[in-house]
Amino acid sequence: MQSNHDTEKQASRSNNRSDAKKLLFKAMLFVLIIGLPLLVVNHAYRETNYFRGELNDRARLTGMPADVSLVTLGDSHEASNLTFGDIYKAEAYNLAATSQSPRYSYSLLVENAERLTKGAVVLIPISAYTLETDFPSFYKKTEGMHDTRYYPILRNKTHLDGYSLENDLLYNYLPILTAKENLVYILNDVEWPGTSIILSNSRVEDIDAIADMKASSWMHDVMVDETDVAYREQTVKENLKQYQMTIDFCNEQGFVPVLLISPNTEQLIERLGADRIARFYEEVRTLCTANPEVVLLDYLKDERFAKNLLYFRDSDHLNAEGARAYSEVVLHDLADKGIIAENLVTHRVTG
Amino acid sequence: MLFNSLSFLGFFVLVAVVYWLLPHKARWVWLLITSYLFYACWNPAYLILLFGSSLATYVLGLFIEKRPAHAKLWLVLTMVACFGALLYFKYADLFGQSFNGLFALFGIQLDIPLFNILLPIGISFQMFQNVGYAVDVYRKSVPAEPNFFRYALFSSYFPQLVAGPIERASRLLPQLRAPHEFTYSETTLGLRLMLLGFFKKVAVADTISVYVDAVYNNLDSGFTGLALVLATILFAFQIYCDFSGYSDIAVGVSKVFGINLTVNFKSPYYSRNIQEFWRRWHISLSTWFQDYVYIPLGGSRVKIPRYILNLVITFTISGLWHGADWTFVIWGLLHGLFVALYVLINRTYKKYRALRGTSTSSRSLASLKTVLSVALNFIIVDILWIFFRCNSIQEVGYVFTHAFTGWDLSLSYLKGQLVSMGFTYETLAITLILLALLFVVDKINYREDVAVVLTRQRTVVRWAIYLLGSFLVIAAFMFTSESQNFIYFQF
Repeated sequence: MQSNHDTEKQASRSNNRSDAKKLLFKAMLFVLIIGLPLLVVNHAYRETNYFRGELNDRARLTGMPADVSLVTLGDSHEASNLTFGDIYKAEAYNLAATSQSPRYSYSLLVENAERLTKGAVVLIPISAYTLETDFPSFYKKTEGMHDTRYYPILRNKTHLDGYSLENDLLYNYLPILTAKENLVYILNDVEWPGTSIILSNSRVEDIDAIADMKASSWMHDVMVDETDVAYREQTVKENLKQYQMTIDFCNEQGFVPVLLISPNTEQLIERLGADRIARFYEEVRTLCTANPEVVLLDYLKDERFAKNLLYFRDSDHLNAEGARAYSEVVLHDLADKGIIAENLVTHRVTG
Repeated sequence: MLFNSLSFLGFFVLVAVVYWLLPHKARWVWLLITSYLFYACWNPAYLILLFGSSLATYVLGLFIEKRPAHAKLWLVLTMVACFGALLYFKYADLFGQSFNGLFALFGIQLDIPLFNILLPIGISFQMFQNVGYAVDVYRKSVPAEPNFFRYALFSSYFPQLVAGPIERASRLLPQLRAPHEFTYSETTLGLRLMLLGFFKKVAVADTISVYVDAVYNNLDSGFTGLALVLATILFAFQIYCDFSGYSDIAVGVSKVFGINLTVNFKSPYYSRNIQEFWRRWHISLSTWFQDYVYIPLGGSRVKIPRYILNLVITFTISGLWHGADWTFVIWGLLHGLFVALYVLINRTYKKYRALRGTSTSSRSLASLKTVLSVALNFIIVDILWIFFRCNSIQEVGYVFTHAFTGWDLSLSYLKGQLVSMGFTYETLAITLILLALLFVVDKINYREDVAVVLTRQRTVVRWAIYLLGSFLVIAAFMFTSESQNFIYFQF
């Protein structure tokens, strides 16, 4: 009896084992059939001009050359406003990116520090928009489209807010699964022009509507609610802390930090409101008082730009012509203040 | 860790492989450890709540059984502990806000402070499962579980931890004790169910959600007419695929471990009336309310007015269970009223037919009647979803007052409305194809489990369906990229 029972048990175990083997074989076959085409498409996507091109932050923010002596941090404003390429005789590089928080600007600076020359100038842009934005919650609202892009860019995982292994694998090894509408570039690839980051002009007569839209979007969807004073103050404090960390890092490494306020159209400035602007300057003053050695270049209301709509492509981003003029002005002022050598600037702005 | 994420796939494969490699006696311990790990991925701090509620229910369950003289007291204490936690974490702010608002109407500044507490994920499901266990022990329909850790697994079993199905002790606990043998047929059945769940969630629900959100998250942009109606119809499919997709994955995952969970959905939109709908929608919750609220209230074995009241009370509480907002309460109340109305009409109709005698109608007439009943029922359920989807009574008011304005029969109007929702020709075609596939799957599921039906198909057909389903899920995942949360996780 006992022997029969043992035989049955053995037979059942043997059945289970062969069942498991069968399942394992079929599962592997299934994964192979699904996985192979996915890997092929993934490879095709990685080979597109889009994926490897400069408009893709991954390519641009990981491609900084060595011996850079002038680096720009910041968000989309600085990404489109500052083009030092042909007017600065030494190596300059732009590490700004759309909706980039001060935290990620800091992380990029830290990770690229070894490529900067001793005494390199670091342009640290600051704006009312940046100071009063709670970036972690803004990124969450935009479904991570802004912070997940740093997975293939930043090497140090502690620099990634809310790091997840899944995102790490996806963005580094299977970017096809994160491609969204960019998948179409596999079928219809494009050649990105060198200055593609500068988009075309908006029509000047539309400036009021654009400024209305932009101010409304910033104030309602991006910046924290100014009536929630405690939350706003906490957000500003958190962002100022990131700026301070950036300045401290520059000082430690022997770089020259320069605070930069980029120009806006007077239409947008008016819509942001005098109180908000005054509050912003108060906050900047706090930072400057704590760091008296840091130079501040303020172009927010600079009439050469604020009143010249032909320099803008919308209410706050300069177009190609504006960017060139602005870059020259910044270089010129840096030279005048003795921060960079005068002979490194090839053009001068007149008038 | 969301079911529809790569992390979960990795976690699941690891848990399943180790589970079957371990000896029988260690498997449930492995499931307990991995369940706690799974929950810790959301917020490790809330493990204390999970452990605490399990411990309290376990101890009180033993008291109910061992000290029958005070069994009622121990049962009440269990309910106070579980519902107290639920009230604190989920409803404190709703009541605070409501009292503040109510007193403000009379010019009294009450200022009850709001806690803004982060809701522990799946708390409503856990607490209901715990209370169900305590009541069952009290009713002596199950013995109290003597092993705390096994009870802890019952109340934290990861496939159903965060969004059900809400399991009964009499069904789940014996399965957690029993030794399970690996079988090819059960495992592949589980995997098929998982694939079906991924299809519903990733391919259908997440694809549709883009267009629903474009309208419902931007009501202040002035959406009217067709866009509002289409978004409301699509939301019905979104919430169904979102939740039943989750349930299919949960049941499928558990089946791979040899443990059967309650099937939570049975093609609810093919129901011919609202009573049938509730027998096919979120079955584990409906039966929970039936057993622990509706029947103790007297159920249907009372006079008609009391019967109606029992229905309305049960559905209203069910509405409140869904969310800490008055829109959910009204949603539940209206469902209760519609079910009551249906019951009254059906009773009257049956009496009328009994008097008149039964008449046989032709097959085609019967089919037409079924189609019309299904359509009418869908319309009622869908209109009530508006309360579920909107964030406030004001938004509900907006939808009702604007859904019938601005209509135009021109092609340009149709195109304009679709574009305003974010549709292109391609995405519209994809959405329609996905919905058509869903209709087919649900039609089969109405009579028999689609995963079982698949078993009977030829290998080529089965593999073609698996591969097509998987490619659709991967393609949809590519376009959404981020793993989208499940709607029912908030409950």
